[in-house]
Amino acid sequence: MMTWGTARKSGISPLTSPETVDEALELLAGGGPDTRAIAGATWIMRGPTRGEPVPARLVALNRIAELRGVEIGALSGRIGAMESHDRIARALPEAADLRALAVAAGASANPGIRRLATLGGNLCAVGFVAADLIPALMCLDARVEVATPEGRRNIDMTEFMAMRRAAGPFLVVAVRFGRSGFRTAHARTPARDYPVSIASLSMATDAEGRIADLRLAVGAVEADAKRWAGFEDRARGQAPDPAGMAALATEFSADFTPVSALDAPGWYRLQVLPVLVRRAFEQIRREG
Amino acid sequence: MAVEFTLNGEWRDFAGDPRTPLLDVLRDGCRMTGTKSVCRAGFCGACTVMVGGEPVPSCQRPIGMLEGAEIVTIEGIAPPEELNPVQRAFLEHDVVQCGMCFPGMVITLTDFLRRNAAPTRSGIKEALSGNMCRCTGYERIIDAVMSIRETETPAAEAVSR
Ligand code: FES
Ligand code: FES
Repeated sequence: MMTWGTARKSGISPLTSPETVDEALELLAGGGPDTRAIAGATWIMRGPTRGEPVPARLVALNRIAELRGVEIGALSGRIGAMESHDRIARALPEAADLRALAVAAGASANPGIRRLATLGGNLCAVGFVAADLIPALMCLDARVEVATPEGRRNIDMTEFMAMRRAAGPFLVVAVRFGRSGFRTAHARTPARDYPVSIASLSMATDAEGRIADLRLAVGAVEADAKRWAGFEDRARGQAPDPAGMAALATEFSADFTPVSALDAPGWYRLQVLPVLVRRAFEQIRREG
Repeated sequence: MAVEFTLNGEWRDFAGDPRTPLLDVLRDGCRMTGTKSVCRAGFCGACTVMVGGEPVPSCQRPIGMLEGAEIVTIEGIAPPEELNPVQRAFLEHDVVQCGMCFPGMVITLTDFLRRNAAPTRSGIKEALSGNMCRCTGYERIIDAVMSIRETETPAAEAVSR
């Protein structure tokens, strides 16, 4: 059964639909502690199945035009926070540097949820370990435009992951990223539904075919996705041999403190990670 | 303030809590019980309905976000007293067992066939990846859908009404 937050404040509707970012921030700031923004609403609406009541007041963001749009240019891209996984997957052009993001958007959850769940929701749902877009955006070195009552800021993904737990109202407006000559891959298990381990990779090689630069982000292993700095440092300058990279992943897997949940124990998430790293390097090698 | 929407082509309103899932508005408020309540978490697809021309899990839609939306449920997927091609194929291939999953499957597949005139078995499997059936094997369902491909595709107007 549906369970509901009960701390209603008289005169304020349990669900409001502002038309601007500023209006939404005002409603979030003035609504009281049990007020949450909803984008696709899929994390909040299934809250009762996790024992978390639907908050007393919801601020729906679906009428804010500024949060829309997928604009991909030759040099940079911008995706609005209210774009769904399905829209993102269909709007991204076929390009090696965007492949990880396209797979992340197109393989997440199931088709019905992909039509609802948004970029902004994926970024902001603290506690949702299986977010596909976050590691893919880390690989793109994306920056997040965040609106707060004090103004707007563009911050990198690592900073965003720390600030998203901060008290005080904020909204994600969009993400932006530069286009690069990097090749990318997004390997996850299971292939469909909700992943229990994700390796998202972007890589550039030098004239000898060695790794000149790379970003490897891991999702669904710890509570928050993160760049795997220890792996990246060791891999630079090496040949991008999938088996060798998997061995390196095994060697450095102590860098993680995996979470255990009903869908998978922590040890399993970690055990499959080197396999996913191998697959990510294989995909890049295969697809060139 | 009441939320206004159309349900199977008819105007409706809902004056209750705007956080109420569309699923409950349909079943409890509108007595449209063809839409099934199972996981309530977006996993099983039994509650799938068309909202604005797209199949989505109704357990995940607070009604307050649906002002002005066009909603089509299993009761409105075909004209009264008629079956659409997916429903007919399911009957002809005898694929239904308990039936809990089938309203959602019919909605999903009707939309899928409207967008994919010549589907493959793997395409059908992919389309059904958010619709779970606990009774049947999926192969006969796919056989049924493939049989439609050879004869007809579901009427687009029935889906988008
Ligand atoms: S009841 Fe909505 S997806 Fe299962
Ligand atoms: S026929 Fe029983 S769940 Fe599908």
